[in-house]
Amino acid sequence: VVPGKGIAHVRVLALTAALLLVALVIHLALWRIRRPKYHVKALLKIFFAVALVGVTIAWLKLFLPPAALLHVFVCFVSATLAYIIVYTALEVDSPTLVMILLLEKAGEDGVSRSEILALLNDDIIVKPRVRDLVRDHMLVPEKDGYRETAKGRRFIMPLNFYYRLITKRGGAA
Amino acid sequence: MLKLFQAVLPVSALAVDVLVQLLSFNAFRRVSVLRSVILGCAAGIIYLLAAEWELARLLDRPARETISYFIVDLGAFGCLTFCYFAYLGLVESARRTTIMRQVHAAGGFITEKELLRRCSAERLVVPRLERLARKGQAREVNGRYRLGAGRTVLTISKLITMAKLIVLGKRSEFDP
Repeated sequence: VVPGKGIAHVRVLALTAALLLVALVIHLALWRIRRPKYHVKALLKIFFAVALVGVTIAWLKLFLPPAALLHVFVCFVSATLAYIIVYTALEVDSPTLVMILLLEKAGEDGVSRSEILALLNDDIIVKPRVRDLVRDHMLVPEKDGYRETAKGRRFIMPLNFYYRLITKRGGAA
Repeated sequence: MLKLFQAVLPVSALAVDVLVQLLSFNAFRRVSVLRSVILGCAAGIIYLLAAEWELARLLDRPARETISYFIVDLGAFGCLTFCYFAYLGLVESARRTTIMRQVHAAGGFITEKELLRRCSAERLVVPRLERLARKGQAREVNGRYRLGAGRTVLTISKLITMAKLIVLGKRSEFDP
C-alpha cells in the first residue's frame, strides 16, 4: 500500500474502530476503579484525548492524508456523541423502563395505577433529577425553593426555542 | 477539496435530515413528530447515497471503494441522526428539561411545593403508562395493567438493564 493512497477508506474505518475500542476500554477500566463525579465531562475528556493521540499517531506514523484524518475525526466524534447519549440513558432509571419491568414481574396479576404511583413517587422520579440539576449548577436551592442560574438559562432557552418549533406548526399552536 | 467534502459528508447529511424534519413537520399537518423524524432520516440517507455516487464519478472511484465509503459514512450519519433523535426527546419529554422549563416559566424561581405540583410523579408517569397501553406494550384489564402483545419496549428495557450492569456494575441508579 502506497502511503496516503489506495485503501484510505479501509484505514478510516479501521482507525475509527480502533480508537473507539481504546477509549471504551480506558473508560470501563477507570469506571471499575472509581467513578468520577461528573461522568459526561470525564467521558468527553477520555474520548477526545484518545482521538487527539490517535489522529496524531496516524498522521506521523501511518502517513494518512489530512482529508482521511478529518474523516476519522468526524466518524469518531459522531460515535462518541451517540455513546455519551446512550450512557446518560443508562445513568438514570427511565420511568418507562421501570414500569415495563414491573409489569413483567407482576405477570398475570398485573399492577394497578396506584401501585405504580406508590413505587414511582416524587422521591424516585422528580427529586433525584432536581438534585442532578443542583449538582450541575443549573439550579440553586434558595429559601423554600430553587432559583435558575445563568447556566440553567443557557441550557433551557435553546431547548424552549426548539420545543416551540416541534410543537407549534408554522408558529400556530 | 472533494476529499474534504467526503470527510464531512455525514455532517452535511445531518443538516439535510434536520432541515427536512423541520420543514415536513411544519408544512404538513398530517405529519407527526415521529414521522417527520423518519422522513428526515430517509432524506439524509438519499442525500448520502447521491453524494457518494457523484463523488465516485468525479474522483473516478471504483464501485467497491464507493460502497465502503458509503458504509463508513452511513455509520457516522446513523450516530448523528440518533443524537438528533435523542435531542428531540430531550426537548420534548426529558424530566430535567421539564423541571427547568417550569422554573423558567415561573420567572426563574419556584418553591419546592409548586415545583412538585407542576412536575409531580403522577404527571410524569401517567402519560407514559397511557402511551405504553396505546402502543400495545401494556394492556389494562379491570384497572390493572399487564404486559401487552408488543414486546419492543420490554426487549429494549432488558438490553438497557444488561448494558447498565456492564458499564455501571448495577441495575438501577438507586443500587449502592
